[in-house]
Amino acid sequence: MSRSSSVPLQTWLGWGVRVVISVLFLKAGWDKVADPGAFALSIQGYRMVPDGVTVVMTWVLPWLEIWCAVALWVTPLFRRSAWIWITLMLVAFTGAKTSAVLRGLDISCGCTSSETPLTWSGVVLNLLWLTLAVTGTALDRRWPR
Amino acid sequence: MKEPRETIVAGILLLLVTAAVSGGLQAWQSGVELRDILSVSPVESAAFEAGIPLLRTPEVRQIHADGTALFLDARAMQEYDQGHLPGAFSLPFHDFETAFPGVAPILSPTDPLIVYCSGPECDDALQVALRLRDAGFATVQVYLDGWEGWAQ
Repeated sequence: MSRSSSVPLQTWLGWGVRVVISVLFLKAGWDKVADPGAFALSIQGYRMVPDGVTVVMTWVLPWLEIWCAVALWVTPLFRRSAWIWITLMLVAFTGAKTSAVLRGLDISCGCTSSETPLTWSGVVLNLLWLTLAVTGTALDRRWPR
Repeated sequence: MKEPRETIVAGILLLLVTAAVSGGLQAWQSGVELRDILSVSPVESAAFEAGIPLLRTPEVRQIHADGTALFLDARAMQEYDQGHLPGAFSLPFHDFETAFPGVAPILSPTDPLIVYCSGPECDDALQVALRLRDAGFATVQVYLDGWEGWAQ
C-alpha cells in the first residue's frame, strides 16, 4: 500500500480519537463544573492530597479538561499542548484510581456526575482512555499540515 | 513543520492559566465555600443523606443522665470490654447477625436508640443504625463523637 493511500485512514482514525477524547473530557469537565461540592468530596475521598490542594483542584481541573477538549480543535499549537495535558491527566487519574482500589477505598470514581463505585474495571477503562490519548498524540504528529 | 519546544511549553502554560482564570471566576461568582463542605466528615455526609440524626457529646451526656434512650455500642467486643458508656449494650457491626438476637429481646421498636462507635471517623455506628431502622426501629440516632468524645 502506498504512503499516499494510507494517509486518509490515519486521518480518519485521528479524527475519531479526537472526537472521542474531546467529548469525554467536555462531559467530564462540565459535570464537575456543575457540582463543585460533589467533585471536591470525590477528591477528598481518595485521601491523597490535603484540603487546600483539593480546593485548587476542584476549581481548576474541570476547566483544564474543558479547555483541553476545545483546544484539540484549534490550531496545531494548542492541539499538541492539549494532548500533553490530556495524557498527563489520564496518567494521574489512572494512578489515583489504582491507588484507591489497592487501598480498598469504598468511594465513587468522581469522573462524571454518576456515582459509579470505583473498581478495577474503572482502572481498566482509564487505561483505555490513556491508550486513546497516546494514540491521538502519535497520530497528531504524523498529520500533514 | 514541527513546533519548537518553547512554543509547546507556552501552549501548555496558556491552557493552565486559562483554566485557572476560569476556575477562579467560577469560585468567585458561585460563592461556594468548599472548605465548609470538605470539613464535614464522610460519616456526617452519609448520615445526612440517610436521614439518621447525629448527636454530639453535650446532648448525649444529658440524654444519658435523663435515662431517656438506650445506648448500643457498635465497636468490636474487645473494645466494648475495655470501656463503654455506662449501661450501653454491645452490638458490634462486624458481628451484627450473631449479636442482634441476643440484644433484640430488650429492644422495643418505639424505644429511642442511640448507637455509637469509636469516634467521628468510624461509620460502624451508622451502619448499625441503618440495620436497626431497616429492622423496624423507628427512633435511631448516632452519637457521632463516640467513645472518644465520651471518654474525654
